[in-house]
Amino acid sequence: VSAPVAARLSAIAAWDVPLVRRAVNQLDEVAGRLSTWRARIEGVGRALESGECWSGPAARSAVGALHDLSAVTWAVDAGLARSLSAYERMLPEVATAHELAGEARAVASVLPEGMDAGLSVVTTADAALRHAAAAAAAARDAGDELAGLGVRDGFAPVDFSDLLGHVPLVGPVAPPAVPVRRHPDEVATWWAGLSEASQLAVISSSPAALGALDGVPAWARDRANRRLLDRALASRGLPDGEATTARVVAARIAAEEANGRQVQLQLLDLSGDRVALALGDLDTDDAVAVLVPGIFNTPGDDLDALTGDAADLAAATRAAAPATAVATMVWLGYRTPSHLAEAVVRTSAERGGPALATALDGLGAARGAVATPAARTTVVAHSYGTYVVDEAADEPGTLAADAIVLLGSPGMEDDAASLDAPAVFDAATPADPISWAGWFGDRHTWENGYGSTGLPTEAAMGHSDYFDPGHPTLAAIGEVVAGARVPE
Amino acid sequence: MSAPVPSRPSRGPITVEPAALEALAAELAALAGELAVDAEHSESLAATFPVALGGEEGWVTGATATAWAALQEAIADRARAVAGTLSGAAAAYRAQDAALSGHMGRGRPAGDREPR
Repeated sequence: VSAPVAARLSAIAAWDVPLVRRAVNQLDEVAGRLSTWRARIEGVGRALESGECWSGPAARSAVGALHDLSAVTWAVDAGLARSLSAYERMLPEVATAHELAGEARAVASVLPEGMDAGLSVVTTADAALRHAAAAAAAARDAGDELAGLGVRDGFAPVDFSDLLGHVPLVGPVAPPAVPVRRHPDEVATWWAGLSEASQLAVISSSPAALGALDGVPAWARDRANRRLLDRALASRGLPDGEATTARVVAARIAAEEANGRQVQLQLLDLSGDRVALALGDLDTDDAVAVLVPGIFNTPGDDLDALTGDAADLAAATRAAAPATAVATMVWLGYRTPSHLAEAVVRTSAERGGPALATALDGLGAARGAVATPAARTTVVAHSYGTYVVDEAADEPGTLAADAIVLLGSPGMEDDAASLDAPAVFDAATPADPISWAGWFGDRHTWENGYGSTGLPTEAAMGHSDYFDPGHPTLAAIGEVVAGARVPE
Repeated sequence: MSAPVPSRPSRGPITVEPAALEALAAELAALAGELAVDAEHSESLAATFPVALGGEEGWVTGATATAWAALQEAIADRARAVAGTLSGAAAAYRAQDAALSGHMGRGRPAGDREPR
């Protein structure tokens, strides 16, 4: 082993591998926060773009500045991710080189010169040097990956204007393909990795696919579905039923917004007669309640009343916890039974259950991809809707809900524990004959053996009274949504 | 509230809700602050690489982490500047509204200034 090689081995053996590993791990954390940061900046941009707090030429300039900020942040985020990947490739090379260098030096220190065992020292030393060279190459790659951002020899652009010159901001953006049949987690990761320009392009190019895609943030689904709604309202060839539903949805949105409520249209499938409409912000609010209605509910006929229930539930939640920001969503994401023959079979629930499970997964995934704190999520199911929850719980994995409320259930297949939720509540009354029916299972939710926590009711409450603010059940559901009611 | 008439004709209305605009400015300023903290963190990590590795590897990895910090700082500075523009706009609208209000008030007869 020559003197220069011995010196190099000595240097490699002195590397502080744990310190390097810690530093790279912390760079990983820093890089991860940047994509979340970009999502929040874009949220500010959307708030400004809405024109609700500022409009006019200067406001438009400010919106443009935030678009630029988002675009540059996306480019830097992508550059840091590539750079980080090179740092991470470097780590095992550093560790192996360090170990082999130490080994070679240790053996060499105890061997007399000229012995055959010296060959193994040379071999080990060569291996150490090869790994050290690979580490050095990865270290250079970490810097080279930032070249597209104007970084040269470790020197970055001096300021934002300089950086802006290295990031292409103009020109048409080709909309990316929308992922098909992917888990919401994968969808959310795909979405979070798109630039804002690409996100807006895909909303424009594929609103039907995007508007129904679980894992995409609520704001984006809302924009996509409103485009679909506008098209439907402008169309002259739509079947009467679909046209009526489109008008009902549009009128409901207008009425809620006129009342100062934020509305997010999460699903608009006119041909499938499916709609999901939220009051509040599903992307950021502390608590989310998903209302799953039962039979004979259609968007065209019942959206107004169901949205009223959602608004009442939001008010009850705020009464229970005034500081809690709450979003309540009418989820008609399944086609409810429209006549008795359908109501006594599970077919609709078997279609709705998987859709509900995926919708719940999507709500969590969209937040998780940008490190937004998860909402406390409660599923509030009424009547046949409780079957849908039953079917959703049968899907692989755990139902993504913190609490389930079963109202006027006609019977469940199994006990409350089978729903795999941390807390299950129920409400049923003697004056509600449906809750005695046991059509789809002999487990009555009001029986002690079922295992749910009963909510307060009044004996005279009928099957449609659970959301009535004049009875005690609604306030109790609000407490569940807020997390203020402890299960027994 | 409605803003003063702009110096050049505009195609659309000009409106501003100063309190809401100030809230957005504050959020943006807070975001700028968070990223600036991350930039400082990257800068401190940059200093650990030469210590941990030494030689060319230490210099290269440290310089790259310094570039990370510079990129983050550039973005944070811009976010801070936009936040300042937003809060400045809100303050300017408030000030101009107050000035206009005062100007109009001066046109009233002295005897009308106090209710009787």
